[in-house]
Amino acid sequence: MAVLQTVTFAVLAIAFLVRLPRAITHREGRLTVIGTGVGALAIFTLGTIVPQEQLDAPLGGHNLLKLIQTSLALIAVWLGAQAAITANPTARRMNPINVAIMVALPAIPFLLIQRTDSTDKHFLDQNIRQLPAWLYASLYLAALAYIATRLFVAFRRNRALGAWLIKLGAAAIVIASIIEQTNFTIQLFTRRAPTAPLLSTTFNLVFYLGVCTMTLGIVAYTSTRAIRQWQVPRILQRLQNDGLAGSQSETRPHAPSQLGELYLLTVAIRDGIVSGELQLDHRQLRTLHRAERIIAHSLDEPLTEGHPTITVYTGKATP
Amino acid sequence: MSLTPEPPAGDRTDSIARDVHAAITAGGLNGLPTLAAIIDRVATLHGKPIRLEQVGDAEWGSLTGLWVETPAVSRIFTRRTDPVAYQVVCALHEVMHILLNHPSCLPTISELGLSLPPGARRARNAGSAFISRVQASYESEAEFGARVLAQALLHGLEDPVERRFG
Repeated sequence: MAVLQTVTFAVLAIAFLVRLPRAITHREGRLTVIGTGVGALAIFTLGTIVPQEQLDAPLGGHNLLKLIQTSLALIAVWLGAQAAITANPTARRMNPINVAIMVALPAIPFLLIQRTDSTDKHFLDQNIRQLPAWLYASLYLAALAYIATRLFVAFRRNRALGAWLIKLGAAAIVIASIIEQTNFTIQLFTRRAPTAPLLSTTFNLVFYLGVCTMTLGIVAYTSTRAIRQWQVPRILQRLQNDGLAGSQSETRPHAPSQLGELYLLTVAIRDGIVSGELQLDHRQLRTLHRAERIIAHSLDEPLTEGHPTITVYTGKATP
Repeated sequence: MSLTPEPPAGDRTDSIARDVHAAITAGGLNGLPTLAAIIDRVATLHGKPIRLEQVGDAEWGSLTGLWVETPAVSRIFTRRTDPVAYQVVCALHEVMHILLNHPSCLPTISELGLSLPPGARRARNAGSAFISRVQASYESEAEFGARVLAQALLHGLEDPVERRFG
């Protein structure tokens, strides 16, 4: 499991460092950048990189690190959920006060757990038969599952690769929370010790793979955007070099950007194809299709290609 | 009706640009973020609902957009098989005809040899055939306006989710 935790830390830390410069220049990206940083910090406290004893010692050596770890995990997932919710105008907002309560509430039963004076990596597993420990874990897992569900719901209509990965990761976190809750509840009521190893191992696998998958979703978004930005000037250049720009009308507006220029060019080329005045080879057609997909993505219009639809605009939406 | 009408003189291009920009500004279309918002606004100005219909007809040939006027509703047709980015320009072309209150070019449409719905008023033709100098002026205005509006709809290379997660 240490390998999986180390890999998860590495994925989060790399995603954080790679996207950090962007967070400085683009305000909207800050939530997820901070989220991956906080997530990396949460995994860091697991003790696979630096022994937990060393991290817990400055806090008194009473396993307070565990509480910090779970709080960081909640904050990291909430930052991701908040970013997804603000990007989706139809998603219901999360009240920050409720989130603060969700993060703070587990601390009450946590402080009531009777503990030894030494840092224990399996602190929660060792004490789960105490009611406060079970209550602490339950509050934490319920909050984690709830916030991950909100993240999933905010992405439900999004079909991008990154969205699918983030949804898969969020679903894994919800499932992992249910598994862990089941594990702890069985232990509380059956008084069985040590922990049910199968459930515990399953939780770890599902949870950390979920976090990795979610982070890969962010990486997918970053890569897709970077590839698109790299492609636009090259596609424009290629279509212009092929002499297809000559089919543009003289009565055309000035394009304020390369993307706008590409739009005007694709319309002119498409006109040429439809009218039969222009014939493109396979490579040029592929380039044109790619350009049209990039433009359609930027337009974000509800129009579809291939499906007959009828939309009536009554003017009532306009004041 | 054509994308590539007779090349107009420079002063004529300037005049088209000036008139179109003035109409867009007067109509309050500047800054509208979506095709839906633009059509909705023009429906208000036109005083009649506008119905955008994505249809498919192989017999349309080089005709890529159509404006049909009926007593109750204005209908704009685009070809559903065309790429979305192209359909947006074709729809906006017809929207500009409505905004600029262009007269019907039915005799010209009929020369296309297509069976069009009653009330067909103007059509966007990807080719350069069937176009008189007068009609070319109307078509140039509509096409110029369509492209101005279409470019304004571009949100950049990132969507809202990518701006946060990318």
